[in-house]
Amino acid sequence: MNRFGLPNLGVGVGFRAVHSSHILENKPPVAWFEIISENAMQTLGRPLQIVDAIAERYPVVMHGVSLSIGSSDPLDWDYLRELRALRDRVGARWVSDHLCWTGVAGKNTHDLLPLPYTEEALRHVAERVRTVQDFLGAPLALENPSTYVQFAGSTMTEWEFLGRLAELADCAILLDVNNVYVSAFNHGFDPWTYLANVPYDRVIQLHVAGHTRHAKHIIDSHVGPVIGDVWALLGEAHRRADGVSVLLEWDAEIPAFDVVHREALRANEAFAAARGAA
Amino acid sequence: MTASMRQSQEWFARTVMHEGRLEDFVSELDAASYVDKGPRESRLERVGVYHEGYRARLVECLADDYPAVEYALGREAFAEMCSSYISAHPSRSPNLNAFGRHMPAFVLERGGVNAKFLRDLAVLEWTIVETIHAAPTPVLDVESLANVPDDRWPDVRLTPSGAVRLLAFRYPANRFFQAFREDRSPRIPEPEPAATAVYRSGYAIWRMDLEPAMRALLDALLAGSSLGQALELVASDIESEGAVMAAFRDWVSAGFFSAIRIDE
Repeated sequence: MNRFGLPNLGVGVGFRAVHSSHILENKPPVAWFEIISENAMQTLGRPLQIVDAIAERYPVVMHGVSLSIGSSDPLDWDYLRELRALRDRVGARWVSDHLCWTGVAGKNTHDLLPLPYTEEALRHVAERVRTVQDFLGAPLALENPSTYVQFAGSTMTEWEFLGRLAELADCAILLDVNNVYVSAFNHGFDPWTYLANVPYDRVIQLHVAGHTRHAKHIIDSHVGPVIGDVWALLGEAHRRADGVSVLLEWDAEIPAFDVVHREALRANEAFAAARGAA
Repeated sequence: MTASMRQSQEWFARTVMHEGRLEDFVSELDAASYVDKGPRESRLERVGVYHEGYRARLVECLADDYPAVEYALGREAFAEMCSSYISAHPSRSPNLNAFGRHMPAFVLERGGVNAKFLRDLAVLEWTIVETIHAAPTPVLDVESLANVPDDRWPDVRLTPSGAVRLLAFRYPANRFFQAFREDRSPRIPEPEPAATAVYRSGYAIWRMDLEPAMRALLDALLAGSSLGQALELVASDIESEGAVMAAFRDWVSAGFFSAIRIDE
């Protein structure tokens, strides 16, 4: 059990609009859904109505992409107010976003941009996480991003930054094992070293996904299926966390819902394999 | 000297959002002040992943909102136009729901042989997006019409639903859009006045073309005129009272109105 007392929801699926009709009509036996927070924000129409309907039937967790916790711009309080209102409306079990920034000087790139891993950034982000948590009245979970570049001024590794940040800000971690794999390839570090240095008492959720391999780098495209090496990382992270909520993301070339759900449930094989190997 | 976090972010954002070739904007040497090279890639190759992704992501968002405009322009020309749009209207919002809202005006200002048609088509497609995001309102039950005494119909006023829009075009934008949706490879049409109602019923978005008289009638009703006043406006253009009542019932059934009241 994590230090926040947040439940292990089992293996869930990232909700995508293309599956709306199937889910609402067939009510598949899914343990829980993760919704993308922003998809149900700045709308009063269909996206919000569908999320309401999903939340009536399933446990829901909110995952954001625009908190921009690492930006040097001020926090966006309109965004935070709407985020909290949505959390309360759908009864989300927790709220997560990414250890990243999405824009600066008021402009949003809508990408998860990497941070310089410096003492300055650590202090800056920790202060903002504490502010957001105070506002939400709940722990915020931050996800390690997949990255394609590292800042020259960085003075620590990502896992060191993430661990120290979680401690300083007393926040939770959403560990994305595919992102660990992608960043490890792109930057030339060992993903198992990353996994060995995560404070698992703060990990409340794991992400797993497919990716796209190019000649010189890997893109975190969330195209499934998940490769064996990433399942192995998932199994190990799940074992180290002593059981924790797991979610499959599939965002491009999305197949029928049952295919996505079956892929997600393969996580159980990864858990068993990791337990057997330990 | 190491760049501060703010300096690093400003440089990185400027670089990623630059329209045009990355190597024309920044050199490998300049980039060394901010980012490291990777095990297999130069600094510019690494920043290039973000640079390429920035525009590709936003073009994809605009293509989701404007699939028929993309078809009408062709994929390459559409992407080129979107790139200019992205530079002219960078996102300042946490989400992309409203990112494409300037497109109808943008395609018109940009000019070109089909600019006026593309503007109409963009208006239709953006209205569909707006209708998706419109707040749900209670829908007037057709049965409630039965409670209106025959002699009070002229005094009936209807409250429009928040999820209905009435559009007037110089080109038959909806006919083109429908043909596009049905993969019938439509060509750019000649000018021809047209009107289309866009509305949401449940989760579904619908479009209804209207003849000029019916368009004027619906326009007046949505603007708050009583049924009697609206009918007076179009009296000389309507074919029969029966046709009006049939259209009226269609509109009520489709959820164009949320409430009915009778003037005292």
